[in-house]
Amino acid sequence: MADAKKGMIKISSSDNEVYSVERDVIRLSTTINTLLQDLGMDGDGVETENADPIPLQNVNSAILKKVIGWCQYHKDDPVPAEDSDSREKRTDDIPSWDVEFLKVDQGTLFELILAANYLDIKGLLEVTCKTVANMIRGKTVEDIRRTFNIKNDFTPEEEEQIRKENAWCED
Amino acid sequence: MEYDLIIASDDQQTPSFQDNQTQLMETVSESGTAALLAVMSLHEDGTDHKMFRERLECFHTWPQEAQIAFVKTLIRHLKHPQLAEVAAFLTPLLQRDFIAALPSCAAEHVLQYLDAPALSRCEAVSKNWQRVIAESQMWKRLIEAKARGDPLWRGLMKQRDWLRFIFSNRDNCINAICSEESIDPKTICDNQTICFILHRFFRKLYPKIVKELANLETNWRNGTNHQTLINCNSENSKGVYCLQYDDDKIVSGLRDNTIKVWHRNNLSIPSLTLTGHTGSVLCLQYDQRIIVSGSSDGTIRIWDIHTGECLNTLIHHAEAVLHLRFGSGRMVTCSKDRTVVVWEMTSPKQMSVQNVLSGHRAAVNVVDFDETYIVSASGDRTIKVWGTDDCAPIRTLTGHRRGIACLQYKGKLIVSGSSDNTIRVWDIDRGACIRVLEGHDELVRCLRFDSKRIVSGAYDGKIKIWDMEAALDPNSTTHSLCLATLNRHTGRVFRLQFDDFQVVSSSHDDTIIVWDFLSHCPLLPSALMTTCHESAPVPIPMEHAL
Repeated sequence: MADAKKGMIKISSSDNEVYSVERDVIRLSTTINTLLQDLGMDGDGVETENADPIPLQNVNSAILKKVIGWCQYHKDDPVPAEDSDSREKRTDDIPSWDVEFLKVDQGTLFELILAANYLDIKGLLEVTCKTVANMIRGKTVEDIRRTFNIKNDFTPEEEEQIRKENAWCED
Repeated sequence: MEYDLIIASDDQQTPSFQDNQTQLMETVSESGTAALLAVMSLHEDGTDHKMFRERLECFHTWPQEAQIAFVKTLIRHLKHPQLAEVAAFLTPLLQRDFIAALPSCAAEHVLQYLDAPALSRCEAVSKNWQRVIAESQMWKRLIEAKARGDPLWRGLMKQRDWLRFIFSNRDNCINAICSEESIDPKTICDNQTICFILHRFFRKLYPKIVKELANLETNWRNGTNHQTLINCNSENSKGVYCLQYDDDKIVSGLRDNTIKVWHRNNLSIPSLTLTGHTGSVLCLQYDQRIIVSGSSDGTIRIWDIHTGECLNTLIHHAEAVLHLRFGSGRMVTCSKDRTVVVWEMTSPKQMSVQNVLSGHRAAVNVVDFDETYIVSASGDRTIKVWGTDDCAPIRTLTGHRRGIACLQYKGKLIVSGSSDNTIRVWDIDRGACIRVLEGHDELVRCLRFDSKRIVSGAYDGKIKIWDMEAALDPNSTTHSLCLATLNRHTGRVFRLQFDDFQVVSSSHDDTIIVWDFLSHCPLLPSALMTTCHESAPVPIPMEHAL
């Protein structure tokens, strides 16, 4: 996988697969970006191809491959605005490429969220979390439990109490 | 057994995976499946652990692709009921309890995309979900997001003094809630209790806000309101021609030549009375620093809003100054002398005439403007639209059958009221009248509009509330447009202003009335907790909390 091209960064998965990724692609991971800057591996003419790969202990190769794929597609995206709090929380605006990309089993989606969180890839965290939110919204409590295989651990009395308290938004 | 042979060959690194797979399929199809299933069933019975483990160890040594191919082949040999069993076994393996299993920051990230109905259903999913929602204060965040994004939410929370619970740091917030709920803050120093108290508070506050906003809307539609009357007690000539208000004060211009400023916490006497005009104060506008007033004495005066000192007197119009608007370094005034004057406002003391707009054939009763257009309306029954920068006439809107008394221009709309007793809604760009509102029995003297409603006042003392959305919908019928009529003034309604919660109007009857549409005597959120829910809320299992 070694690439002599300038601006390639090597990263290795938890199962020791090494990937060579363009600097512009891996830039989307704030974790790696900051690390590279801290290591002084960010300037022009800095020799990176012979450097040891950056070990990513929390991401296995299957997920890392997908994450790199996502970053590659999104490397030219504009930097998202910082004030995410003041923006409307929409979930119907996931780009169609991402919708296709995220047509995966829940286990993979789960691992992708963990990876996006660990690598601090804002855009990926956003679309993966929106995808899960979309799996929740519009569903009944029982549907939500079925969707995620969750056991109801409330007593009938507790359930009835919650039902009463939340009755205000169910009509 | 054939089965062992395959594993052996795999151990020796079969060069081609394709070959390997074919071989696998062939061999397995003969006897391997049966053997493995036999082993598995033995294991299920707990009778041959060792054999099963050995098989599994071999399996683990294969490349992933080979493992999958092998299992797929196995599955193909299953009968339908067996397949169903495998599917039932497999499905939960692929599912994830995201909210419970993700790190809390990621779970919060998911939950923040949910609206209130979805969030409340999530609370009922499991104790874990309930706990995550409580710990991450999702209800507080939802309320904060609403208060940021929805002016109505923010306005209500401000009116009710609930903004102190959000947009403040955790300590101030917990103190405010403790005093609200009569809890001694010293008794709850541990994090879990604080977390639970906060959560319970905001979880109850949310539906409370929703309910209040629904009541507010109903009150507007039914005209239900609570009135506060200010009696101006003018001595000679009685009547209040104009007003403007904010959260703290009402500034009014009177027929007795004075301007009176009323503080909203004491409406019995004016906090400031400005004298200087030698005729009735017909129009005024103020900002943070100054009040500008126009009078039937033909002058415009500029006052310091804090001290009441008269900073400047502009003598230009030949007759009464009927209306004025200012903003962004510009002022537009209009007069009985049939002209509209555009002023450059450098400072309160430095005001110069930039342009005089002539064209109306009668008194110009009202003006409004923004960056694009200046709009004026006259007793000559027309509305004229002028370019703000070049002051060039652009178009004349005709349709009213008698003189026009009042108008507001905002966005793409002009709404005007006339002596023909109607209100007209116009599209400013096309110059077309898109709706005529009929219902007043006398001259429509004043009106204001926002995205939801038009409020108008007439010479018979009546104020009408109109449905703006319906007025803009070509399909709505004429009787669906007027929502309510407010009837208390005993003289002509001269001026009004309104917002999401109230109308403030002034009249020839020498009063100012505040019409408050927010229901009075609100239940505090704490009162709601103890009175509206007989039983205690479901306790969150705090032993798992941290």
